[in-house]
Amino acid sequence: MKRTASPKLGAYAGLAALGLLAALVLGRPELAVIATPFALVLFAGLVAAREPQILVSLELDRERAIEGEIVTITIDLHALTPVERLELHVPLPDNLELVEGGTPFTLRLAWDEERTIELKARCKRWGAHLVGEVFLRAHDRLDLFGYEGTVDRRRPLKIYPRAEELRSLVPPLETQVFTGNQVARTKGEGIEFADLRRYEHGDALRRINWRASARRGELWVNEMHPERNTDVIIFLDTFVEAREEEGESTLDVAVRAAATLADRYLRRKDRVGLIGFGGYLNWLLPSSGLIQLYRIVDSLLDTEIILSYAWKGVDVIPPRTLPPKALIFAVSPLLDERAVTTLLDLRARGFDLAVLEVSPVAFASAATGEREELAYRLWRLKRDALRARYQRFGVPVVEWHEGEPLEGALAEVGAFRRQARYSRV
Amino acid sequence: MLALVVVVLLAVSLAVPLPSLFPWPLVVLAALYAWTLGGGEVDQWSPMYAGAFVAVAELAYWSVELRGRAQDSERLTERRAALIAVLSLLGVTAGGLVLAATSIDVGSGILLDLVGVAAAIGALVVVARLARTRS
Repeated sequence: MKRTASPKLGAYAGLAALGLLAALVLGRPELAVIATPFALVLFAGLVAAREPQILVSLELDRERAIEGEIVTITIDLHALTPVERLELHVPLPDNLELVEGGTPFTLRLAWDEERTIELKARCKRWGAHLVGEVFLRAHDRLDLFGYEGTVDRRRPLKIYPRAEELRSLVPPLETQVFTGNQVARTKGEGIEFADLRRYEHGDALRRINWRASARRGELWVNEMHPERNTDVIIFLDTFVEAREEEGESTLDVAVRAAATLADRYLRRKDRVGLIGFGGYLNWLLPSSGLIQLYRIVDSLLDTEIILSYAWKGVDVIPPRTLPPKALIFAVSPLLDERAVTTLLDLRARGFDLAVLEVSPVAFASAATGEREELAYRLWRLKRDALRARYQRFGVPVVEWHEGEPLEGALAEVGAFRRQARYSRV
Repeated sequence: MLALVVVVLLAVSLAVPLPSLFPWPLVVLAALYAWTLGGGEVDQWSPMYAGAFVAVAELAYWSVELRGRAQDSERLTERRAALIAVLSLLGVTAGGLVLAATSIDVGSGILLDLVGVAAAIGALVVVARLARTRS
């Protein structure tokens, strides 16, 4: 620990020296009397000063937590020398909020004393952090010296976004070739009944529909829809965000929605990929399984808004991240022209696209004057026009506000797609 | 008037706070005290003043420390208050002993003055050496 002299040390030394000198020069013992206590405090403090020896360990009760959960930080202290006053500070990331205990805090440790301190912090927002840099400042009994040091006991803590309630998903229009939970529109081996057709040589006997065959006087067989998996690409727009002062942002909400969608689609045995489209491009090739979920969530935890003026379009996205017949589920506040154009480009290339608009309207401050009200209304109209533009291209755009169930927004996407399908017919 | 200036100086240095200014009001107060003593008899109350000086200095430094202090759960405030009280009392006692020592007649003269100067310098050297070896 680094030792520093307190201002008191120099002041007392000066007062004692000045008092004794003045007493000698003026021949007044009273000045020596006044200087004596300062000299004694100084002498006693210097003799008693010892560098404190403290062993510090820090543990987190978990490495992974979900937003809203409480994490316990346990700090174990073992004093090998007595410490009159120890100030201890464990800086916490902004995404953690202390709910029990306090930091910094002061304590006193006796000889060979062991002490355990528990801090409880609530995970406010998703993110990946290192928690556990401990700052120590010890003082001697007479406060003549301070001892400062830092102990690096950092532990990783990943705060995952909390999942939204979701029972049904938006099914992609096309399925892939592997087995999954999605009933394909094509005919083949499966469970769901699709149609009847005449028996052909080589058809399995168990597929014969005996009732239909008896009615028609010839053999008819059932045709089935196979269960196939689908490819879903979650497209997260990270160009810009709308943020409340000291509060949440559209990105926070978007990441929560993206994580929920990835989790639910992966549970259906679908392959899920991720494209973080913003100041820097971040992507994960589509894959399935629990490991892919962890990959996606870990990637989402690193998501941040990087300011960039460079134009980015669909050409910067690696082609392998966009498999044919994949559903591209865009989660975007639709604030940046680059993301808006890229999504329209993807639609123009024939991708099945759905847009979940994380509405920035709630994050905009209320208009106060006549001009501001007019600007606000124009902005809202412009957004409505943008939504209509997407819908003209057959892209469902649903506005989703934080606090509303995601289920409702997805149901709206499903309704639009059903309607669009009927209108095509 | 000067005493009022001293009080204002101390108040300002406490309010800002400027710990480097804390000794100066005490120095001025001590100078005023020496001025009032003039060439008269030895003041028997000087140990009390010594205790008061230490108490003022300790309280001033403590006030600065309290401002930056973190959450306190160890009754450190009470311990520190008691320590200041004890230091003040010890200051009075030590001052009394020094005052009593001055009443012992050991003669006078240039030689004794030189011994006194050497003792004062020696004490400061010991303090300085202690401070160096500890840093």
